[in-house]
Amino acid sequence: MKNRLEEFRNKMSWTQQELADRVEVSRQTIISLENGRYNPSILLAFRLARLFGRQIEDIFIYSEENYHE
Amino acid sequence: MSDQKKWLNNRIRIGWLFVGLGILFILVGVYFEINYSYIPYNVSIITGLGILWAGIGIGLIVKYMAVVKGDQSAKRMMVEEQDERNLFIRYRAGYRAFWVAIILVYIILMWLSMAANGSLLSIGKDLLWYLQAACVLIPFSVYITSFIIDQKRY
Repeated sequence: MKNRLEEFRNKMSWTQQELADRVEVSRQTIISLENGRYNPSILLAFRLARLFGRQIEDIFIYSEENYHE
Repeated sequence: MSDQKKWLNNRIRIGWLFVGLGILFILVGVYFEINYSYIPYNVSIITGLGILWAGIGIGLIVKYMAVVKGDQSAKRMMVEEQDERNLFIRYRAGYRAFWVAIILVYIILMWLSMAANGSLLSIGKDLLWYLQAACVLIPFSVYITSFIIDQKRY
């Protein structure tokens, strides 16, 4: 699933580790999310959206092709 | 007390529990080895198990005691262990290893059953020992391999 996580993180001038600390996940999880290799749980998606003051859909871009990922 | 302190203390307690169980097994094992050496079972397995558990316990205590004074490093360790991606990868590895173990045990049991009525070649005691060892080692290897592959994949 594509996402704009890196873009939002860069806007806040946070490192991957800083973002990881704020949402209480590992830095590797942030790297995998930004690369689109890993899809977050709904709880993590909400935490990230709340952190950036956005809706989940603003950060994570869902398309039907993602259904079987 | 902060969340990570509680979590850390809990982990250290688990470590001590392993050490306690390990010592208990070592004592029982040694007692049996001295007093019941004539019984037709290898009682040193009990001692070996005790050494293994005590070792795991000491490992846990050392690992968590190392970060007990640093709040930041303790939190990092807690986050790392509870991280949803890591849990997901461990779950997948465990799931695969579980099914491989089930299939291996099933095949061996079926083989033994069929060998008992002469349909297949019988398995000797030595070969059976190696097959049992394989039933432990192969799922473990599957777990490790799956873990490494998924770390790269996700």
